[in-house]
Amino acid sequence: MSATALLRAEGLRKSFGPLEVLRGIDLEVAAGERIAILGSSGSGKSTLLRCLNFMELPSAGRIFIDGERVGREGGRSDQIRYDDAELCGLRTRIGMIFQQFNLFPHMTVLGNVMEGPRTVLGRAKAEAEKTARTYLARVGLGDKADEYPSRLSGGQQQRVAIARALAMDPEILLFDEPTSSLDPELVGEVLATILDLSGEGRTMLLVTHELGFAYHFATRVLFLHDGVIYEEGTPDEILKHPRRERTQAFLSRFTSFRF
Amino acid sequence: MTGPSFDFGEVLGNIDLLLRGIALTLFLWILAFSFALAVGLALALARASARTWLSWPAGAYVEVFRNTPVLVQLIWFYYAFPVLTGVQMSPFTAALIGLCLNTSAYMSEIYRAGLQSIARGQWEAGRALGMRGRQALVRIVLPQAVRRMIPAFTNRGVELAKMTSIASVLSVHELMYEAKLLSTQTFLPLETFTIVAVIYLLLIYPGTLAALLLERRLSRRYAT
Repeated sequence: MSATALLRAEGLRKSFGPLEVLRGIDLEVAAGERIAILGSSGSGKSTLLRCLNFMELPSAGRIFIDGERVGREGGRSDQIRYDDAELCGLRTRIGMIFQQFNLFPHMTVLGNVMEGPRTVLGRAKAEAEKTARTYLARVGLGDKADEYPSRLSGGQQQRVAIARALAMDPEILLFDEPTSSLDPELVGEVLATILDLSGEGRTMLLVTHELGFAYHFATRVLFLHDGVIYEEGTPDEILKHPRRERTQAFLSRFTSFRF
Repeated sequence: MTGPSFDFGEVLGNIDLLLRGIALTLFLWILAFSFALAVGLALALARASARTWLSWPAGAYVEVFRNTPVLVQLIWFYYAFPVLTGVQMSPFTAALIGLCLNTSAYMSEIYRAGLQSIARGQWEAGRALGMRGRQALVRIVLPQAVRRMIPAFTNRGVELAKMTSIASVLSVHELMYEAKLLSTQTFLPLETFTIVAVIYLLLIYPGTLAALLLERRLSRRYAT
């Protein structure tokens, strides 16, 4: 266990009522790592991602950011108590991109990207606008600044969502199935945008079903099964030479129509 | 016997009496509506709260005021409330409080439905940027919800405008009270109340129209 881990989860568990979705996740992420998280639906991969920025509060276990423990031990039980202000502060350092984009429909594209810096970081308008325009150009949408999200294609909306997350200059970016609700012909532009970012050295965790993309994007691949990390390794190890049965079965389902 | 003859002249000759009534009606309407908008939001938030000591009283409040006649509420505040507390309100204050509390109960239901209609992902996107709950509410969720609530608010506003006439039973000198007075003085109920009905129409209809225009303008800007 290195002291320099940017993000560390220990014994992470999450239940929804009687359903235990995460059943003990231990994970250590070093700065600059790009991690692809794979697994069949219901394996807990999205829940894991959502616990890392506390969109879901873990039922048990500990999370450390930069070596600092998040939350406090509760009085009686082993329930951990989280302070909302602390979580909000953390989330400014951890960006998230959603499957459904979740752009703010009542704001222009520029307004969407400026919103975080303005409202959360209290940046001046001119400064926030400059940053926003820079990131919009970065995702190739500099000319769409004044449009409303409903006028954009799904792929463009997701790229705006990426720019919105980037505008906070987060240390960690979480992608929760960023292309799963896109038409097939729009997937490429979003993946290209994400791959383009990977040159920046930002730490990224990505839940995806795009195995080919995961192979090129990731420095490490996790395979989740039944709420635990079932197998992990380099993209080569996991995607080309999986050793364990479930991983092999999962991958074989994706390659049955090779031509 | 000949048909009824009309004498609008005499009623219109006393128009200053009615104008005074109109002023008070408008004052009561605008004041009660503004208060109800604010109180309704507070109630809706309290009712949605996870803390039962907030949500339960808010829920009880809404049900009491929605399920009792507004006439009873006004009379209760004027005649019963002083017995209970020893504080005698002026008729106007009692009417204002009654109308405001009644309308805010309905408003809170409009807010509740409106806030619930906004997708969870909108809250999440705001929270993921690091917003506090209040910031996400004010910046992200409310602006979208309010657009959807405008037709319902308009309905409530129209309803409230009409309900102000009930204040006449507490001798608040609003339009309806003045009209009753004028009608007994002139013995011209037909003319008086016809004119009063037209006045209410002229007062309320522009509000309905303005809300419609606002709704159209907002929905042109983005489609959801």
